[in-house]
Amino acid sequence: MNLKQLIIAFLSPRYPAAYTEAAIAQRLNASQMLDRRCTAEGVADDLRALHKMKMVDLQIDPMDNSAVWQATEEGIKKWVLEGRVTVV
Amino acid sequence: MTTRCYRSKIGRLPFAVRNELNERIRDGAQGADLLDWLNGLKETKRILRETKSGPVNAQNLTDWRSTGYADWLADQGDADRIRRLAEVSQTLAAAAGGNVAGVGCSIATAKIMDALESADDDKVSDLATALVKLRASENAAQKVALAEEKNAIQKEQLSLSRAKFERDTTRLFIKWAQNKDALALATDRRLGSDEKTERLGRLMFGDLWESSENGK
Repeated sequence: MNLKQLIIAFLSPRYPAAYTEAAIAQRLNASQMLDRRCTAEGVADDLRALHKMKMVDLQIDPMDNSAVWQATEEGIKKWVLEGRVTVV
Repeated sequence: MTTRCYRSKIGRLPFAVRNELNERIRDGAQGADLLDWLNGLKETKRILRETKSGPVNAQNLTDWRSTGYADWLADQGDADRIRRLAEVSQTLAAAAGGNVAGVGCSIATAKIMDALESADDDKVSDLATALVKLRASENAAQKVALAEEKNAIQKEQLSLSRAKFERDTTRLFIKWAQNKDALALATDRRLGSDEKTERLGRLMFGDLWESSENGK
């Protein structure tokens, strides 16, 4: 699985929870499911690509203006169709 | 989560086919039916042709049940557990006053998720049980409140009906007190109470009185 699929596998089962890029990168690295460690910047690039595909949604935390990401209905549908593989 | 690579005949099949096979096994499909379906797929035929293998057989299916299918089931369990935690987290975030549709609630849900995912399973289970009980008691209290409200409305309706009945009866009394026949019947000392009621009823209501009596 590539990074985009792993991001979906992390965010979808946790919907509506919304995470920062750094938090997502940290959890993906902790899962040890990637061949090599990912960075927050790498995750951000793939999140933007997934956002264009309407798989994830971007929201701004009004408290500190940080960006947080959550799965969309479209993303969750894809996750279910692909067997609900889950990043624990 | 699954990043395993399976080298068996079934393991080499496309992800979507393996996923459907797993769902069919989970739903209790019989081995013979599964083999018929699997060997009839063009994807399977292509893989078997490429690997110069014979059809998928019962032993292949048995092996798959203990490897790929077992892994898939474990993944489903993980997904279900995480989904339940997400629901509990969202409930907690909303209970703290968060707008369920708002970004604040989504962020709070994530923070609670982090805490729950790193917590001991028994403690999470206790928390989930407590929340379920809380929801059940709130529902029960709501039902009682609704029943009380319904009861109050019924009492109000009864009170209004009674007031109307009393007003109508008084008007009727005033009207029939001026009727000589009615007055004679009402004051006739030779008649008992039941007889007076019967005769006055017939006088005042005619056929309607009879039909109401027949309906008794």
